[in-house]
Amino acid sequence: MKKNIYINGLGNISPQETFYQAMGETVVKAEGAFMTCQEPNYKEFIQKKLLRRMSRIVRMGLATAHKALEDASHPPLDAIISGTAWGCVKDTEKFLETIIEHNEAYLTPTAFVQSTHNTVAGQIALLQHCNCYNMSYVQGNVSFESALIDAMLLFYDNKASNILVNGIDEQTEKLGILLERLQCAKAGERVMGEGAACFILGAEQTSNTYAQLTGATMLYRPKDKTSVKESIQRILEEANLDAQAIDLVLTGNQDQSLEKELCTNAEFSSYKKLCGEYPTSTAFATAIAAQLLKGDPSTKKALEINKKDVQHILIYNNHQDVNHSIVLLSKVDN
Amino acid sequence: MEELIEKLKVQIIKQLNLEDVEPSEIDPSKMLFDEDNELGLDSIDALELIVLLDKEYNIKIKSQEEGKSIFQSLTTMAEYILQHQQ
Repeated sequence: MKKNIYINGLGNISPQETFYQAMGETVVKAEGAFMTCQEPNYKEFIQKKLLRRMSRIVRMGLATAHKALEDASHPPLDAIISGTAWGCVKDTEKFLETIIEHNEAYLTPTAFVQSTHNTVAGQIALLQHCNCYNMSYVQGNVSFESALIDAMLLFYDNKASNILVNGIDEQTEKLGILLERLQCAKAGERVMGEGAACFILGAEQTSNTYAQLTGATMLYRPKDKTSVKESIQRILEEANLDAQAIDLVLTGNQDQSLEKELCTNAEFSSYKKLCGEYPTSTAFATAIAAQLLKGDPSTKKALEINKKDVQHILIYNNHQDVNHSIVLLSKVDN
Repeated sequence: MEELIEKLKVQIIKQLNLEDVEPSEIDPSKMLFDEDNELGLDSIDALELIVLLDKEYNIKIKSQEEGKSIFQSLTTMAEYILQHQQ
């Protein structure tokens, strides 16, 4: 049965100054083909002896989990669900390089242990002493949405009261070279990015609630625009809304014709100008949408939104017409 | 011996990614895997040290018991390397 789900805490590391639950005053613009994260001092959150074995993505995942849990006043978790497409790619590179350099000998355990895609979710569980349901979704450009929908289903089945969900992907020098060669990254045209956004979702609203997660869905190779529109309309109907109720569309798309045809009362903002293109960028969009709905003026300014009162935000991302994803967030009264 | 110990310190810092640790801070006579050792080494580090000995000195550790005595301290490591290096 469908239930109300709330974003009660968040942690967000991105190319912008977003770690402290609000957008920084200065908006960072892309220079070149890549945007990289502004990272906090990890020693404030992770023990030094543990830190040395963690690559950047694990650090980002743990720091955002720490921040989100602190923000939500440490509710007991019933599930930890992670979404990542590239996983711990730095450690994977290190492991593969060692195989090549040393002719398949002298493989060290650390890079191997840390290179799996479920490392971040596992490390969060270890540090939080949390032996609950632990899942990592590696589902390309809908990895975060897959994690989010799994969490929603757990709430609907009454199997959880509080769930940690994140979307994380890191950029590395080698990945950057490959992306440029594949013409996925190009300065001024296709700026690649990275980020880690973590959410504490709860079945109950709290005094810290950012927004209500009203709906989420994803489509794989939809046959035409109409089927995407129908999916958006279905999500809106389930939330007792119509397309005219959408105040803001955070879009990840260059071609915005579909969302503009549908949401005629909305303002439109491209969130990828703030974080770059990466598989779990919708997690960043969800985080800044939540910040905006809670009333953060800097987020509104960074997204160049004029509307005074934003009640409902639709996040729509279409990756090469293969993976489409839709997330709907609504304002709550605190 | 002294030279080898200094070289080992640098190699261990690199292999175990001991951030913020300077070679001068490692006491060669101190137990490497002791709880009181501020380096905070554990069983995964022991595996890393086995790989280091094999890779850098062509020395293979064949048994757990042998490993225990070799990795007692930096000094015991250096002594073993000097005795067994081919």
